[in-house]
Amino acid sequence: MTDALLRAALAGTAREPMPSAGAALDALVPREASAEQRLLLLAGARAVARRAGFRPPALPLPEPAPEDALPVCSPKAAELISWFLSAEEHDLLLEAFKALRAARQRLRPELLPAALSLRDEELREALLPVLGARGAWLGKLREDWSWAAGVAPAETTDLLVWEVGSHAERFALLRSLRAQRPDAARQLLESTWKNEKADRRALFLTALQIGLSAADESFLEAALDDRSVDVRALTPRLLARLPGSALTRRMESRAATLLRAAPEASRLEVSLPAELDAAWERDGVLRKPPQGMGARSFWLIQTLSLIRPQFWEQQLGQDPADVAAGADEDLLQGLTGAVLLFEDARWAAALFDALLAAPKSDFQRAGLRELLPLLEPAEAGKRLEQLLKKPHEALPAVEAMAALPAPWSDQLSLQVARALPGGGWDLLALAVMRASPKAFAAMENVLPPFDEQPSNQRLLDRARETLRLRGSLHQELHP
Amino acid sequence: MALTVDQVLALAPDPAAAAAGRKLASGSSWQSLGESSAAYWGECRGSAVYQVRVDRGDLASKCSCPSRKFPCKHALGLLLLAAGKPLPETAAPQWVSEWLEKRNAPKPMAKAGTPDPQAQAKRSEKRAERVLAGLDLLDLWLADLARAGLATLDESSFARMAARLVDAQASGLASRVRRIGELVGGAPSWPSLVLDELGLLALLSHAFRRLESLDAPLRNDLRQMIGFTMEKEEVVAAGDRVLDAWAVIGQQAYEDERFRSQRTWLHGAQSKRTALVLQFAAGRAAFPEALLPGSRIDAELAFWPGANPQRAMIFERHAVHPSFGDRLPGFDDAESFLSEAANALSRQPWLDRLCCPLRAAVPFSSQDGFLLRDAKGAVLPLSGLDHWKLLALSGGRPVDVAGEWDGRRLYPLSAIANGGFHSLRSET
Repeated sequence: MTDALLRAALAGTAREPMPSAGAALDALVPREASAEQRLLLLAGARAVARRAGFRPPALPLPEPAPEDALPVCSPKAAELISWFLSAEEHDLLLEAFKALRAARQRLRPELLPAALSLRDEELREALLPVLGARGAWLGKLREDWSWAAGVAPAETTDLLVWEVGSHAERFALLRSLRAQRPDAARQLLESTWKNEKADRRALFLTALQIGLSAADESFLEAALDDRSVDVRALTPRLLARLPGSALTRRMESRAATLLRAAPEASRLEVSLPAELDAAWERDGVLRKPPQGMGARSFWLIQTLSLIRPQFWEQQLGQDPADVAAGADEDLLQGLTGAVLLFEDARWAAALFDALLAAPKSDFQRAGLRELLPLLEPAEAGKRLEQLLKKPHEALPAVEAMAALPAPWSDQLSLQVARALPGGGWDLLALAVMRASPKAFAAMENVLPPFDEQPSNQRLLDRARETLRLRGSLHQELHP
Repeated sequence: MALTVDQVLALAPDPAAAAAGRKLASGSSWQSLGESSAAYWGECRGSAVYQVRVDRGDLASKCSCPSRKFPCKHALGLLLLAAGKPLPETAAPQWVSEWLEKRNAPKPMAKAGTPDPQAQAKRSEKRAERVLAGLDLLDLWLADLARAGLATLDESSFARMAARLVDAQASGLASRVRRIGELVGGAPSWPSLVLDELGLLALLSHAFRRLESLDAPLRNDLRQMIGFTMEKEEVVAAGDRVLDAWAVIGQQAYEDERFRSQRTWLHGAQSKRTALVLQFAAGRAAFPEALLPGSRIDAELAFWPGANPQRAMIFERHAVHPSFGDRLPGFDDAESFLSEAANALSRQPWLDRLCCPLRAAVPFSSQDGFLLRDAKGAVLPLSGLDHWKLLALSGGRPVDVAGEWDGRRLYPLSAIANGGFHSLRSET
């Protein structure tokens, strides 16, 4: 730095008695001025000269954003989304992004900075298709927005991330690679498997649920003997989903003698071995039950939940409804586990009905909630409408409905709208958020205008507000 | 044509009112909505029914709610509704028309007390003495700083000096000293910035002592910078009055514990003049004049007299148009703006902010911060850390940008991209 005046100012005139700013400016200062006055007046004159004499440098520009193919959303839609963004309305944002995508539109550019700064994974996934080329371009400019940059990482960076990344980064890499090239992902995992800590092995193994195939079997079969309990618990659930796997064959041969239709009644009989074989244990059946459960019940439930439910239709010659009707609580629990693993809609409906008829329990409530999303929408709607009519069944029904993906089908939404009067505040709060736009008018018609209690009035106001906000959004995006 | 959502939100006295207004606009039940050429009105139903009405002429509002924010959330909600789509054109109900009549009734002139010329002369003589005594203190303080060197600067001495200048009735100098104190220890280049500012302060003091040898316009500037304020009536009597169609090209708002202040830059279509309107409001009260970024007002402005007059007030407002157009009136390249800025500084060397409307410029980010490149490739550095909205709007392509130039860097206030006007102030 060759700024003599600044140096003099920093040191002080006590040490630098004759400050100078160059001949032209020096000449402006009155001769009689003291050293201090001189320094300050020179600084002032130079400040003005600097401001008046600013010379802009010339620089080249970086690449502009590519043109966008999608049209931007309307200003009204943008205003709604901008409000949802500032109020951090997660569910409304998710709905808006999905609706935007369905309308084949993108966010207006002014919304992009706030949208790109969202951290929620679910929202980010919904955002990707509506960010447009502009969003991807911005993603390249900021480290924390790079998730939107839309560049597939090169293979060499893959390996680097896998070797030095945080476990969250490594897991994300494994999942995305698994979706594109399942075998390469498994091989990457195998390459470091022996050196990973137990909790990491269990986490990374869950990535194999993506694109699971017979090619994974030998790796998984070896993992049955893993040191980690968590890995040993997860592996059989993966192998069971491979139709021809050795584990599937072993489980089915065990199943062949496990259940039998009792001749005298529509009831199923169980025959379990008295002692648990080590081979069963290796295939994921734990020996020691949790407190309050018998060991044999525990073995049965675990075994059943690893067997494809359709197997029983052949084995017992009964349809799902008959099997479910003849099942006691242990059997229901095991079969529910299997239906959740193998995701079968027919069996889910049969078990849902059987659980409804079963005595109330924590398991029953959890089972209803978990099975409902697997039912065909029409089947789900039929059952819910009936449930909502019965006051003592409404709460488990609402709990179960909370697990259904939004928005609900038109039919279910209209069914719920009919059930709203007397359906309780929980149902109302859930319904206004999840129902499809087709049911908005019906819902608003059945809402009471006022409630004496201020807290209820607030719930009513909030419900109406949600309906109107969602209504405006859909009106904007599906004119 | 209606206002834009951005413009309505610019009226909000605080972010909470803006958020509540947005919520009301899309989520509440409204009835008896209507508009005429003079007003918007409607009844908003919440826990009670509130009647709200807005004068379209100056956007003043009245609501039956008990809120002490102006405009209240209901008025903001109503304006947002009107921004979304036109309200039904109907005859105004009585509660609207009566209010409008009352507003338009000629106001009784405030009775001005006849000033006692002798007492006045005595007061101003006394004040001049005090200010000069304050300048003596300031000069001594500056000399001490210069002798000891900036390396030994003590931040707290700025606050003490500012307090003494307040006592000396030199409030303009006081706030200048306080602002310099805030620079100390800030950006890495702070010694250089502080030296510049101290130098300008010394020049100001020096010039004021030889006030009588300067031209009348510059004398006005100096008196204002020291802290001699001018009453509105004096401004109207002494300054230029310019009737024009004024484009509201940029706005900046500040807030401290008790006051909100606002700087608005206007550009005259015929006169090509730039005007700066400063407004203040206590607490959550409304600013006296609603100036909506992106709009155009047909009005007569009165300029504070000076060597390079830019501060102005609205003397008489005739009409408001929601949009001034799809291009920014202004400079096509940085060079012509900078040469204009040099001319302005040669007339009034203490100008610390100039309006810079630059057309077809490309913002971009670099290792050294954000930059703005004009059509000829010249680059102005931007001040501030968050210009991502501007970058998002531009996408690396030319946009019109209006900002404040402080002699070193530009602070962008608004942009026009694809014909749409956008305020760049932080979102409310």
